[in-house]
Amino acid sequence: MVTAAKKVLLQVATRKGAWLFHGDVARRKWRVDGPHYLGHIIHHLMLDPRDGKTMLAAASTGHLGPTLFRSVDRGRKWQEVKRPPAFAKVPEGEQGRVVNHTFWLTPGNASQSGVWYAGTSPHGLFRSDDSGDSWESLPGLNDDPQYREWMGGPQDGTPDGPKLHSIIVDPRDANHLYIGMSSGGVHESRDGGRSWTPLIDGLEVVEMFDASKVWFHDPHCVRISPANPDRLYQQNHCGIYRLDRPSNRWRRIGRKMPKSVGDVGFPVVVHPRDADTAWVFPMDGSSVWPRISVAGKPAAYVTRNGGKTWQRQDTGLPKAQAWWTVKRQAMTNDARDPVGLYLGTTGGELWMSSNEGSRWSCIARHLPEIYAVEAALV
Amino acid sequence: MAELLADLDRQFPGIRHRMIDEQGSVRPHMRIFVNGKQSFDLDEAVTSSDVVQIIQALSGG
Repeated sequence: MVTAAKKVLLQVATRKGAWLFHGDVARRKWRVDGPHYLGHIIHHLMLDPRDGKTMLAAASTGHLGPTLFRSVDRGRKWQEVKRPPAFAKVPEGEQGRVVNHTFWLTPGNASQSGVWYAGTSPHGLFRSDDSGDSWESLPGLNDDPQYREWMGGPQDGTPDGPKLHSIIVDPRDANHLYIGMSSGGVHESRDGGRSWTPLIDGLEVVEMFDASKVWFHDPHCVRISPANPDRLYQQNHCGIYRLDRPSNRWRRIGRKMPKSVGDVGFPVVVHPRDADTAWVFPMDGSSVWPRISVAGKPAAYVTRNGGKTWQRQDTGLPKAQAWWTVKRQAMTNDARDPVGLYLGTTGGELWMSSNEGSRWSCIARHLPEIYAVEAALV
Repeated sequence: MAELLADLDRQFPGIRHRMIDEQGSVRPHMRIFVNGKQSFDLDEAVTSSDVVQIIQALSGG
């Protein structure tokens, strides 16, 4: 259903705090509201779409342990939650794990008021049943011996630590979940997280590594199509993919991207009403992986036919010498018509397009490094 | 020391978890000093005349 008249609220998580941007109906004027928790690392900030008022912020502060903050009035007042995600204490003599930070927040199914999921670094999956005030570890993943082996140890993972991300709840079935793990693959549960199965068939891995081994798979971002929940898109370390259930095999649709650009990147965004339309933001994945826009010329790419062809969208973006990129959670969309797209850069700029990427404009500059951007209609 | 931290947490709910991780270890960048001597042992006995200082490093960037 198209919602044409609602305003957009942007939730921007940065390395030094959280900002809210309140848009007018035309999506032209933006009122800045922040910073909230200045100086805290905010990894993810998310408004609960089910009540439009509860907001969670996943935070850590250099020297202090991780926590979550919660607002029940859409970001006006905040309070620290009672019990943030934490692994179970292990018996004396055993090596237990410690949550470094919560990386990803996902509200539960529309039928599950108050349920949230959180993905952590190191890899961990947690669930809250009280709107984020307290969290339980999901042992079906966190304590499963096979999954612990796949997750690796402190020496594994990305430079900022391994991440459990892309938590997806099937809108048709609250027990049907997907997750992604950096250097750990994509996985699926059909029983609310009690048991999990890898979903890596068809995905490529870095040359010379064994694609049959789960820990060599590095999904960056997985998204479900709201228009067709049997379709998923994935931006992987090794390309852009599409999965059409009930198949279990991913297809690499990124090979249709221009060779000079490639199909490496972090985020992927799917049109709310058209399962064939998706956006990516390519990144330089050559040599030492500088993690900046290819050749310093940032651009989004859109497919409107499920990945058969891709079109460059860079009107309004810097033409050269723009050495930034967009992190996996920092590109999103609203559900207006035409769809609005929003992205936050590693250089602290917030950009938007009110016409599905045809033209981009900068909403804000001089923010800290942007980790995540979410858009809600309010 | 564990009781001291529990009492601190009673007064300021959640503060213990910001300093001590779920496995019971002092978090990196946090330091506890008892009478000027660094301590990582939560079982260490402290008396009412001891001075306990909890210091955090301002690191990050």
